[in-house]
Amino acid sequence: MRVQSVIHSAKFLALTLVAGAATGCGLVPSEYRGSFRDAQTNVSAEIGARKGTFRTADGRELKLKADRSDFERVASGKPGILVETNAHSGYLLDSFWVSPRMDTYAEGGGMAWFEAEVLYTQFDSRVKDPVRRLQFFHCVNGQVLLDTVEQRWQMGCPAGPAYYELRRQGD
Amino acid sequence: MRNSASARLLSWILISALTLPAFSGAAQADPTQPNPERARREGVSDGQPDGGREGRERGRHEGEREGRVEGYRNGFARCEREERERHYQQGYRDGFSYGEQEGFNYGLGQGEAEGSERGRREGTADGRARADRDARAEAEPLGAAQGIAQANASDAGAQGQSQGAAAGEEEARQTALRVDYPRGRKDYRDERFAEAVAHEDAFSQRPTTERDTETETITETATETETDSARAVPDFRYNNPRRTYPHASENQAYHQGYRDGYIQGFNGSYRSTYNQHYQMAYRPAEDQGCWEARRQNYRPEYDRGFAQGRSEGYRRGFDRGYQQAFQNAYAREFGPASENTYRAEYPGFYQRHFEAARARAYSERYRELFDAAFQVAKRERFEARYPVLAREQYARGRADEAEDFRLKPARLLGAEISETWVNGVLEPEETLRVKLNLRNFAASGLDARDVRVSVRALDAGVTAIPVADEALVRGLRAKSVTAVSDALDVRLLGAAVGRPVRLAVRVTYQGRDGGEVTLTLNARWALQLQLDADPQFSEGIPTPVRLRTTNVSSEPIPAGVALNFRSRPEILEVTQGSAGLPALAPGESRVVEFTAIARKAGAAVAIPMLFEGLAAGRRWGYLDLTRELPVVNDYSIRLATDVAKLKTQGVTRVEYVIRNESARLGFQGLQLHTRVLGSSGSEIQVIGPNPQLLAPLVPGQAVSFLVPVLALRDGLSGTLELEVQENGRTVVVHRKEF
Repeated sequence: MRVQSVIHSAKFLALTLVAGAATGCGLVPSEYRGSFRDAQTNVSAEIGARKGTFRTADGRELKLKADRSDFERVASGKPGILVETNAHSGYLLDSFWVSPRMDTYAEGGGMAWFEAEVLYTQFDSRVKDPVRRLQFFHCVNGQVLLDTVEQRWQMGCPAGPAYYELRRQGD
Repeated sequence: MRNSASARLLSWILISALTLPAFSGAAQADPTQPNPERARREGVSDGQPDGGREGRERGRHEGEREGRVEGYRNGFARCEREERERHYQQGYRDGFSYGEQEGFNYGLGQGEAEGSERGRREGTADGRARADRDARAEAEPLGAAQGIAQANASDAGAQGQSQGAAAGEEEARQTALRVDYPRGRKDYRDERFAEAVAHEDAFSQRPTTERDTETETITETATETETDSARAVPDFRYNNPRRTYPHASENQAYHQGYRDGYIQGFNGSYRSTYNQHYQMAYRPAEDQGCWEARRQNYRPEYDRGFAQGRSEGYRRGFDRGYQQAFQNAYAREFGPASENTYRAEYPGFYQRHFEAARARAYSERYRELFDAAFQVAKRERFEARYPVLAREQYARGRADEAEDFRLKPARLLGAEISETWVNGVLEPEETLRVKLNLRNFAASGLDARDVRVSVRALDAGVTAIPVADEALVRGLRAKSVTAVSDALDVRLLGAAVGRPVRLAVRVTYQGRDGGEVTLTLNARWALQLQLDADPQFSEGIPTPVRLRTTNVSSEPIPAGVALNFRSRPEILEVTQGSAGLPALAPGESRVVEFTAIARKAGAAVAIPMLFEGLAAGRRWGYLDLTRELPVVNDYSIRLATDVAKLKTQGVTRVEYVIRNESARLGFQGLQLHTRVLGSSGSEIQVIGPNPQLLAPLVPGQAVSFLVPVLALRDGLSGTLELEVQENGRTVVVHRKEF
């Protein structure tokens, strides 16, 4: 049991180092930074090392700062771009753009939850050149769920989110 | 009054002039008349660009996505194959060189040892063979001459004559018994059967024939099979019919035209856009896949090549060293071993060959002398005795057969099975009767009570015989042949289907045997049932189960046979398990569809399935089988909490683990709906958001999540159900009772 625990810790450390190396100085890998736009829907995104702006088709802007995602950060209910290493594939980074509506906060049974506008995409740390396209899905009625006992969290969208295929500007 | 009427007429003319086409001066088309064709054309014109927009958008999106996936996969596979081969070949070369030297050294030592040993062994054998051959040539003629002289001086002739006479007597007796006694019986029997029949009768053992003739008709249920097209079709995301017309027929034509135009526009743009973007996405993805493949660890391939090369190199080196050392050692040892053995063993071989030749010659000569005397004596005795013994046995045979006919005048000439459901098929549960042909050889009639017919099963467990033995209902007249129908009562069981069933039918007169006939029956259901194809089950997902039904009888099966499908609900829950069947002509088939939900997941789940067709209390078809089938979903569910805790009052946090088992690279979020099923539903409920929502899982990824459930009191029971949807599409439904 103890040996397994040590191995597990070592794996976690290695994944963290891989993710850290891949992202360079910022939380968003440099290959994913830049301006992207979906010409069909007029949706666009500006992505920097530690911040991002998402513009919806009707011109609404979602300006967010990137941050490490841990339980306290998610539970704080502050908007942001939360980046974490995918638990299964260490070279993938899950990226949640989240804008909570804390007026919907509720709790019970050791859980707490609230609604949020959620954008989701993945970064691949193996990519060595600037990516030309980015895929997002987006919902305004997403959900953030916190397990206050085990200090875990999850978030997602109901059926039928909008899918965007954003192309790098200048290509 | 007249002024008022004139005013009304004038105003009507004015209004008509303003509203009616004839007065408004419309040139050619009458706008008040419906023009559906024009509306349809306008609909097509409006629909095409909208459909084209969807086609371009989806063609681009889907082409890129699938090009990326295909390119990555193909690139990875190609480069992985190349790298494996390259590493294998390098390992093989290194291993071969190493193994060849290793084998040569070992082969030298091994060849020396084995060459010496074999040279000695084969030299010894050679010396022994030469000694044997030379001794035989010298000793055999001398031994044979001595044996013949000894036989000529023996009692062989006297012994042959004495034993031949006894053998002739015994053969004459046995031949008379074997040939003439049965000939006497047969001649008498043939004479009796050749006698004239005084009466030919027929009767039934039952006064009225019982026949089942169900013709009730039950409402026919049509079964339809839906077909699904796999090609891309528009989802009408830009559906925007925007014109309206005064007439309903025009609006209908416009909408139809719009839809047709939309589909045309979609089809016109989708494929080309798809192909263009597929190609654009394919190449970089292929390079990416190749790059990824080259980064893999191929050390196992090198090791495999090294082991293979070493093995083959060793074999080649060993052979070379071994042959060289073996031949030298063999030549050195062979000659001396052969010569020494020859000298030592020659005298013994000579003695053995002399004695063997003498004994053989004695025996052969003695047999010649004995046989000559034996055959002559035997033939003379047989010819003298056989005619006398043959007459005696023939007379005895006729007398015995005559007595037999006196004691057993009733004889069974033949028997066959007759149906009560007359359709050419012997069905399980059908009442079967026996038809017999009886002959009375007596000069007087036989009382019905003295003549009994019986049937017995020769195979266990496949028949039920309610009436196994009965007396005739009517006597047999003197010198008569009588056909007796509807005798006895036999039913085949379901286990008889698919195997031959044997029955023995027998007749007795006053308890004495009057003959027995063995009948072989082949049972089948009139309605043959078989699975049309193995169902493709997924846990929790309604799945069609198709059953092929075929009328294998010679008569139509009436409409209204009710087909039922059952299984064990904890393994396979049948949600639609009954269907009606229309009338089926002989040889006609129908496929009937049921619906069931697999409740147990696994690579090979033993699934019991029972189908039966019933109508008017009669079973027409039956199929009971267990199939091992895969029950596999895109996602697997495992409970990490013992749900028995839900029987305790309070909040239980139920933990599930969900794993993406598919290889699809889609980017789909998950919705997790949890329910408590059962009568306790109002007293036990899920707390918190329901459904819970999850971000996409990559293939192979597993995550756990918690569902708090509140039980208002102890001792509740029910079923906890989790339905997982992937962007709204149900992919697995997991149930657990508590």
